[in-house]
Amino acid sequence: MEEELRIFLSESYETLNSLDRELIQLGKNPESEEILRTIHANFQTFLESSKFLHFSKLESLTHIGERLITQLIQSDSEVSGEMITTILKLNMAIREIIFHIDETGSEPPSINNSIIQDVEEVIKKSEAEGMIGDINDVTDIFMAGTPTPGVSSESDLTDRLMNTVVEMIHVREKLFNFRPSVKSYEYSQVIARMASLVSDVYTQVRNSKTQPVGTLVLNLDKIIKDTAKQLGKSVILRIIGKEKEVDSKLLEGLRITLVQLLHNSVTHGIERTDQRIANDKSPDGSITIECYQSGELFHAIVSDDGGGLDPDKIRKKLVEKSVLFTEEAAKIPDDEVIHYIFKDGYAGLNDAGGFIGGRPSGMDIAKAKIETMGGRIFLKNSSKGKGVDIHLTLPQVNAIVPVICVNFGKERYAIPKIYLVEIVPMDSETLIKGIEVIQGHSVFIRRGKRYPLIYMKQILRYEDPDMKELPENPLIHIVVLENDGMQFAMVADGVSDMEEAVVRSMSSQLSGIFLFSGATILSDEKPSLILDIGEIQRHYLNSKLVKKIVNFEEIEVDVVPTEIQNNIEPPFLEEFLK
Amino acid sequence: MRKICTFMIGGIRFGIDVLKVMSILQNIEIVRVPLAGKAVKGIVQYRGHIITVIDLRKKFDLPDWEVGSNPLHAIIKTKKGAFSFLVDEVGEIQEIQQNTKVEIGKNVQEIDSFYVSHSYKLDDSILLILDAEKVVEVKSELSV
Repeated sequence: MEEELRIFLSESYETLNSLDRELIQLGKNPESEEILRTIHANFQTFLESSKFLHFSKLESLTHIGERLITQLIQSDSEVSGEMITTILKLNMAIREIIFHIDETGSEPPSINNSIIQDVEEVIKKSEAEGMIGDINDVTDIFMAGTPTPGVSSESDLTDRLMNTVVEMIHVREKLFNFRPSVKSYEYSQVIARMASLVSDVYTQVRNSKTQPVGTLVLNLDKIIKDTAKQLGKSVILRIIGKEKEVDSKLLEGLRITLVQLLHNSVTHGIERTDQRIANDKSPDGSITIECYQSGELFHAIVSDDGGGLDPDKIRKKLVEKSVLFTEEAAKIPDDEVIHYIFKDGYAGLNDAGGFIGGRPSGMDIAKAKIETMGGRIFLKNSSKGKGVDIHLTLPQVNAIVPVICVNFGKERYAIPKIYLVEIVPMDSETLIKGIEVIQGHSVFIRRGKRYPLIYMKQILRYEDPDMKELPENPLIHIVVLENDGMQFAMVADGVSDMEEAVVRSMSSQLSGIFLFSGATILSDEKPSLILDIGEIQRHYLNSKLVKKIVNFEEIEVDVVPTEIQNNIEPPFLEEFLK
Repeated sequence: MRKICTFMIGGIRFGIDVLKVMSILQNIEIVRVPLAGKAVKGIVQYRGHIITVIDLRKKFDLPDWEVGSNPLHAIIKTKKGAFSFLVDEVGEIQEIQQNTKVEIGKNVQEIDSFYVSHSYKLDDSILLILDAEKVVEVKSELSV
C-alpha cells in the first residue's frame, strides 16, 4: 500500500500541475475541445486512483469534476470565465486533500461541501440549456463556395497549418511528376525553389508539433527509483535517443505505456540486490529505453537485465485468469507462451500487482493503449536469467516517408522504402519453378537463398471481381523485403516508382488493424494504406521453423506447425497466379 | 429552432444537424480496408485527409445496396474527426421547433435506437436525429 501511495502522490502532484497549466490554456482558448479532453483525462486519473485507494472525499470531488467537463465537451460551446473559476476552485479543493494525504497518509476528516453543490448547480443549469446552444448563425452548406472549417476536431493553429502544408506537399509531388511539353530551365528552377520553400515550411510546422522523448523521461527516473527502493532493489535507468521527436499528441500515451513497462520491469523483472549478487550479476539492475526512428515508425525498446519471463508462471496465470485451460496452456511451447503476456485478460482488475497509481495496469492494457494510437507492442526477446526486451512502435504522424507502391490484384498498398531490398520482375512460370514448399511454408529460391513467401492476396482477403481478364503468363514482381534481419518476399502484380508520402493517421476504427501502420495520400490524390511490414513479418514468419528453413537448418520431421504458422496456408499456385 | 439536413437510407428518413454536415460528395474512389469491421466501407481522400467511410446500411442492419447504386458520401464532423456516412439520397433542410420533440424508443422501429439522439414530429411523419458520435463509436468492430 505504501508504495502505491507514494506513486499516487507523485502522480497526483504532476496531474495537479498539468490541470493548472491546462486551465490557463483554456482561459486563452475557451473553445478548445482538446484542452477540455486533457482536463477530463486528468480528472479521470484522479477518480480512478481515489477509487482504488478508497479516498471517498477525493472521489466525490473528482467525480463531479469529471461530470462537469464531460458536459462541457458535449455542449460544444465556449467555456465561460465563470466556468473556469469553478474548475479552478475544484482544483484547489483537490490540492488541499492531496496535501493532507501527503502529510498524514489519510484524507482530511471533513471537507467543504459547498463546492460540490456549486458544481452540481452549474451542471443542472447547463443540462437544462442543453441542446439549444450555438445554432444561431447557420450557414447554408449547399451554398457554392462556402468555406468549411478544418476537417478534424483539431482546432489549434499548428494543426491547421500542418494540414495546409501537407496539401502543399501533395501539390509539390504533383508538380514534380508534371511533364510540360516545352522544357524550360527557368521553369524547373522555379519549381525547385518552390519545392524547397514548401519543405522549409513543413519542417518548421512539424518541429512545432513534436517534442523530444527526453521531456517525458525526467520523472520516469524518479518513479523507478522510488518503486525500486521500496522493494529492496536498486535500478539504474538509461535512455538512449532522448532527442528523438514524437508527435506531441502521442506523448502522453507513450508516457503512460512506458510507466507501465518500467513498473513491470522493476517489480517483476529486476531481482533484489541480494539475489543479484548471489546470481553473480552486478548489484544494480539496469533498465534501458532505446528510442529511434525508422521509416514511418517511432520505436522504443525497453530492456531490463532481470530474471526474464518464466514460461511456467505465465501458464499458471493464464489458467488462473481463465484465458486458457490447463491442457491448452501445457501444449504451448516455452518460446511461444511468453508472448501471451499481451493476451486480453492476462492482467486484470483483480490482480493485486495490477495497479500503478490507481490505474489498472498490465501488458494487455498497455497494448490496448498503444493500439488506440495506431502503435504496436511486442516481446522482442526474453531469456531466462538475462532479462526482457519489449519493443513498441508508434506511427510518426505527418512524417514524410519515401514509399513504393505495390499492387496486389487491383488494389494498391504503400510500403516504406526502408524495408525494401530489391524488386525482381519475372514471368509467372519462372516464379512457379522457383517455389518450394517446406513443412507447409512456401519459399522462393533465388541464387541459392531461401526467401519465405508471404501471400498478400490471401492475407488481405483480396477477391478479384473479374479475374479472367488477366493475361495467361503475366509479368509479376518479387518484392524482397527485410525486417529484423530476415529477408522475405511478396509477389506483387505491379510496382510503381518511389514517391514521398506523408503519413496520416487513421480513425480509431482502423488504427488497431495490425496489417497497417497508417495511411497516406499518393500523388494521384488517391488514398493508400501503408503496410506495417515489421508487424506482418512478426505475425507470419516469426516462428523457429521459418528461421530454420531460411538458414537451411535441419528440420525434425515431427515439428507440428503452431497456431501462428497455420495462419498462412499456401494457396493453389494456379489460383494464386490467376 | 434547429436546422436539420435530412437523408434517406434504406427507405428511412433521418436527419443530422446541418452544422455537422461538412459536404456531400459522390463518385469518389473508396479504398477497401482489409480486416476492418463490416460497417467500414473503406477510406477516401477528402481535402488531404484520410476519412473513414461508414456504410450506414450495414451499420443499421438494413438490406444491402442494390448493384449499380451510387450512394452519396455525407461528410460528417464528429468529435473523433470527420467521417463519411454513405446514404441513398439527401433531402431538404428541415427547420424544427424544440416543442415538436417526441419520446424516442416508441417510434424507432427500423433502426437501433442506440444511434438516435432525438426524434421530432413533422407534419406527417417522425424525423429521427442521428447521433453521429454513437455511429462512429468503436465497439470491438474488428473482424479478426
